[in-house]
Amino acid sequence: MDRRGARAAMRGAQFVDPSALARIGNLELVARTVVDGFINGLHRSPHMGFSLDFAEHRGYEPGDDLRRVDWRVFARTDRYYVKQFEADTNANCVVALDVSTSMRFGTGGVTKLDYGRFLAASLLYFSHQQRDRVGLVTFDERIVEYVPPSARHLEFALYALDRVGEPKPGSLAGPLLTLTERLTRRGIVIVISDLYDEPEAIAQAIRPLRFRGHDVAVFHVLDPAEIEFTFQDAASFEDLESGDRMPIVPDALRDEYRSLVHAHCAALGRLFTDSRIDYALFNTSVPLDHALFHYLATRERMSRVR
Amino acid sequence: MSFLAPALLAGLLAIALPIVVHLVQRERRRVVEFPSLMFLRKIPNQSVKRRAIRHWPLLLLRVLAFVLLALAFARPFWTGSVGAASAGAGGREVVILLDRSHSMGYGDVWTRAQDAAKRAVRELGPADQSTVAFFASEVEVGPRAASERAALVAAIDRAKPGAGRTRYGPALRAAAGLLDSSRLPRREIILISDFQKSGWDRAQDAKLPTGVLLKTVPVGEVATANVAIASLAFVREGAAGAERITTSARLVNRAAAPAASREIVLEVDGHRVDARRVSLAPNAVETVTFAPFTLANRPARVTARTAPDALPIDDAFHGVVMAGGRVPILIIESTHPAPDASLYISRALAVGTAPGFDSTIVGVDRVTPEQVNAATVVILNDCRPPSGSPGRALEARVRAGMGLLVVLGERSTWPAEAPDLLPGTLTGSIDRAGTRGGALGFVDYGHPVFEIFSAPRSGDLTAARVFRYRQFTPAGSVLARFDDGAAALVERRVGAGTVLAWTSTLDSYWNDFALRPVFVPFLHQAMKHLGHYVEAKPWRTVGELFDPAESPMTGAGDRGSGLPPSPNGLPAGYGGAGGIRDTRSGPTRGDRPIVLTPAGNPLDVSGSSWGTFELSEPGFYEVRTANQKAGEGAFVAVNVAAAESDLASFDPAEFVAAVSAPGGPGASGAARELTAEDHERRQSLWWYLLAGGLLLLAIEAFVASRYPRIARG
Repeated sequence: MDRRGARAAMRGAQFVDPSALARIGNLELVARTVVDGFINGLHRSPHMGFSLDFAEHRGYEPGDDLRRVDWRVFARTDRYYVKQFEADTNANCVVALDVSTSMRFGTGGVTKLDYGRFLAASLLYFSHQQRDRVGLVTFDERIVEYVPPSARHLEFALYALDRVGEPKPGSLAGPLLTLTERLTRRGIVIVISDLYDEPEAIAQAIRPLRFRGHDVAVFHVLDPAEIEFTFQDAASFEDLESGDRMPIVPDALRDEYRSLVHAHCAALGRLFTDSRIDYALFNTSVPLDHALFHYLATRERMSRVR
Repeated sequence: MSFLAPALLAGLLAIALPIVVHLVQRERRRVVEFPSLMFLRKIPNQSVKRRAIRHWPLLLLRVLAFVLLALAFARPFWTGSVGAASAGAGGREVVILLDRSHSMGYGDVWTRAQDAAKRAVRELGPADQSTVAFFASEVEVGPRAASERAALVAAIDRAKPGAGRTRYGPALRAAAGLLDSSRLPRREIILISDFQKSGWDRAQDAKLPTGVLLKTVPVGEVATANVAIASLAFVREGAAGAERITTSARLVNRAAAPAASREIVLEVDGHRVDARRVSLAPNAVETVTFAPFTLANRPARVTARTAPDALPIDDAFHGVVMAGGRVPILIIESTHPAPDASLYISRALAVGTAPGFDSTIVGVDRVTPEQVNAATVVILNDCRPPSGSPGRALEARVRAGMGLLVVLGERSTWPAEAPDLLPGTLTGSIDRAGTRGGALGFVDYGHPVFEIFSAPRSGDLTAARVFRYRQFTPAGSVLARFDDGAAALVERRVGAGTVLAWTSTLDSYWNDFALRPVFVPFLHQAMKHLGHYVEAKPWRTVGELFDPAESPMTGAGDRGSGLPPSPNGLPAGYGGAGGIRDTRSGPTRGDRPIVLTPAGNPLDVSGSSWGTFELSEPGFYEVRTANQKAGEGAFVAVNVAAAESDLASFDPAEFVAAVSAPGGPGASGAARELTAEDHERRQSLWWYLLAGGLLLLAIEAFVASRYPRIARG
C-alpha cells in the first residue's frame, strides 16, 4: 500500500490524541484504544487487508527454491512458475525504544518518550493481535530492558515499557549491536528514537540489523519544538544529555536551525533508503494512528514473500 | 536649552538598562532544556552575537522612554530669544543697563559684562528694539537700535568701566523712562552688573512700573579680594613758622584672606617721601602713619599708594593739604585785668586743631588797627570797646564779616560813642551767689554754636553754675538764657559780620563754666561761627559737581595768583584743611577757569553754568586762571567712593522682588526678573516630557504584551 492509500484509509480511522492518551496510565489500555479504533476504521476501507490470501506466479529464475515451483502450472503450460504465497504469520516483532535523556523532552503535554512508549505499546499490541511474537528492547547508552520476542511476552513488554528507569545519555551503536547479536531469528525490528547523532553514524549503527536479515523500520520521533524551533525568548539552552549551555536567540537562528534539521532528516531518509530500511519522521503532536498506518504499510511490503 | 537640575541628566545612563537587558541579562536568566545542541552548535556563534538585540522597536521604545524621563527630571527650559519669543507675542523694547562703576574693573568682570551685553543684543528678535545705557552714579544713554545691532555692539565694545559708584535707582528710573515712551507691547530691562550691596539704597531706589520685566545678569565674582585705601588724615603741627603734616592712611582689607606685608607709599607732589609695610587681617582695617613732612607755602598734593591688585583704581588715595589752616584770634582785655582773665580762653583756643587758633592777647589801650585787621575773630574780654582808630577798624572789620565776641564782666562798659556793635543794652549786674548760683535754662540747640551739644550725652551745658552776670537787654536773637530768664548769649548780625555777647565772664570768678568740659568745644564752635569757618574737604569723591566760584581759588597762595587776594591775608579756599571764607574774595562769575583733568586733558567748562564741572576721574584736578602757569593753580583731590570698594554682592532675585511692581509678573504680564526657575516653571517642558515618557512606557507595555516572554524578562 502506498502512502496515498494509507492517508485515504486514515480518514476513516479514529484520531487518537497523544496528549489524551498520556492521561491513561495503563499502556495495554492505551494500545487497545489505539489499535481497536484503528481496526474498526480499517473495515471501512476497501483497499486495505493484507490478511487475505493472495498468490501470484512469476517466472522461475535461477536460484529460486525448487520447492516453490508450481508443478501444476508447469503441467498445464510446460513452463516453470514460482508460486508466491500470502504473508507470513508468526513473525518476530521487536520494538527497540530509545529511553535516553533526550527522549524526555516534550512541549505539548507529551514527551517523546511517552509518545514512543504509546507507539511501542500499540505496535506490540497490534502485532500480538496478528499472532506475531513480540519483544521489546529499551536502551540508552546500553540496553536497559530486554524482553525476548515471544507470543506470550506482550504483558512483559508492556510492563517493561511502564518502568522506564533513570534518564541517561543515549547512544545507538552499542545497544543496537548488542540487540543484533541477541536476535538470532529474522523478524521485524522497529527502532523508535530521536536519532541525535550524525546520519552516517546512525546508519552504521542500524545497518547491522538489516544485514542480519531483519526488516528494520526506524521511527524518528521529534517534538514540534525540535522541528520548527518555536522558541521566542532568548535564553541559555541546556543540552539535556551533556548539560552544556549555550546562549541562543531563537529568532536569529530559527531558519538556520530548521534547515539543519530538515537536512538531517533528509540525510537519514536517503541513507536508510539506500540500506532498504524504512524511515519515518513522527511529530509527537500527530495522532498515533498515523504511526500505525505507517507500520502497516511497512508490514504489507514486508509480508510479500518473494 | 538649559536645565534646572542638570545633575539629574545622569539618569540618561539608565538607557543602558534596556540595552543590557536586551543583550545580556535575558539570556543569562532563562535556561531552556533542549534535547541536544547538536544542530545549534553548527550555527556560527558570531551570527548569534551580531544579531543579539531583537525587537528593536521595543528596545527603542524603552530607551526613548528612559531618555524622556531623565530629561523631565532634569527640568529643561529654553533660554534666549527662542524662549523669550515663546513667552509672548509682539516685539520687545529692551533697555540693556550695563554697570560701568569702578568695581566692574575687578579682574575680568568687565569682559564678562560686555559679553553678556553683546549676547543680549544677539538674542534680540527682528521685531525688538533695544537701547544700551551705561550707568554708575549717573546714567549715560547709548545708541538705540531697531534693526542695526552693530551700533549697539560697537557702543558696548567702546565702553570702559569708569570711576563712579554704583547706584541702581537712577539707572532703573532712566530705563523706565525709556520704556515708557515705547509703543511695543513688551518692555524689558536687562541689568548687567556685579550687584554690589553698596549700590542698592533700599529706601530710595526706584520702583518699576507695571508690565516691565527686569532680567538680571550677575557677572561679579563670588569670592573677591580687594585691599583699598579708604581715607587719609592730616595732623598739623606748627614748627618754626612752618607746618608739619603727619599723614595717616586707613587701609581696608575686604577679603577673607589676610594681606601680608603690603607696602604703602606716601607721595607728596609726586615725590616719594615715605613708605611703610603693613599686614592686614581678613576683613580688617589698619591705619598707617607716615613720617611728617613740612608743608611749604603752597598746597601739597598727597597720595598714598599701595601695590595694584585686582581692582587697582582704589589702591591710591589722594588729598590736598593747604598751607595756613590756623585762625588768628585777637583777645582784647581791660587795661588792668584780673591775673587770669584770659587764661581759660587762650588755653582753650590753643588746643584747637581743626582749625587751629592763634590767639593774641592785648590790652584795650594798646591794641592797634593792624592787629584788628589781622584777626579773624576779636574777643572783647571784660573790657570796654577800643576807641579811636582801633575802634573804627573793629567796626569796619565786623561789618565786613569779622566776628566779635563780647564777654561781659564787671569791667565791661559800652559807651554811647562806641561803635554800635553790641547786641543789646548793658545795665547792671545780677548776683545769684546767695542762691547757689544759676544755670543755663534755655539753649538754642539749633544754632551752630550749640549744635554739637544737641545729641544726647554730648555735653551738659546746664551743669555750669553761674553766680553773677550782667543784666542785658537783648537787641538780637537770644541763643541762651539763664534759668531766671535773663539773656546769657545774644547774637546780632552787623553788616556781614556777627557779634555774640556772653553776659557773664569766661573765667572762674563769676561762674565755673570755664571749668566745665563743655567750655572748650563751646568756645571753638563760637570761634568757627564768628569766623565763618568752612571746613574744607581735603578731597572730593568722583561724581561730585565742583563749582570754582563757591570756593575761592587761592590755591597755591593767593599772593601770586593774580586772583583777588583776601584783604586780611587769610589762606582761605577749598581743598585745604580748613579756612575762613572771605566773602569778598574769590573770582567773579565771569572768570572762566582752566580745568585740567588728572590725566592732563583740558576740560571744557564753557558749556556749564558758572563754570561748574563734574569730577569724573580720581586724581588731582588743576583749576587755574589764564594768568596762572601750570602747577600754580588750585588742586582738587578726587577719589573713588570708598563704598564702591566693598565688592560684597546681594541676591539679584531680592533686588528684582524689591523693585518690581506689586502684583507680580502674573498679573502684569511680566514685571519681575525671570530666573531660571521662572523660565522652567513657565515653559513646563518637564510635564510634556514626563507625559511622553509615560505614554511610551504604556506603549511599551502593550508592545511587550505581544511578546509575553520578553515582557517578563
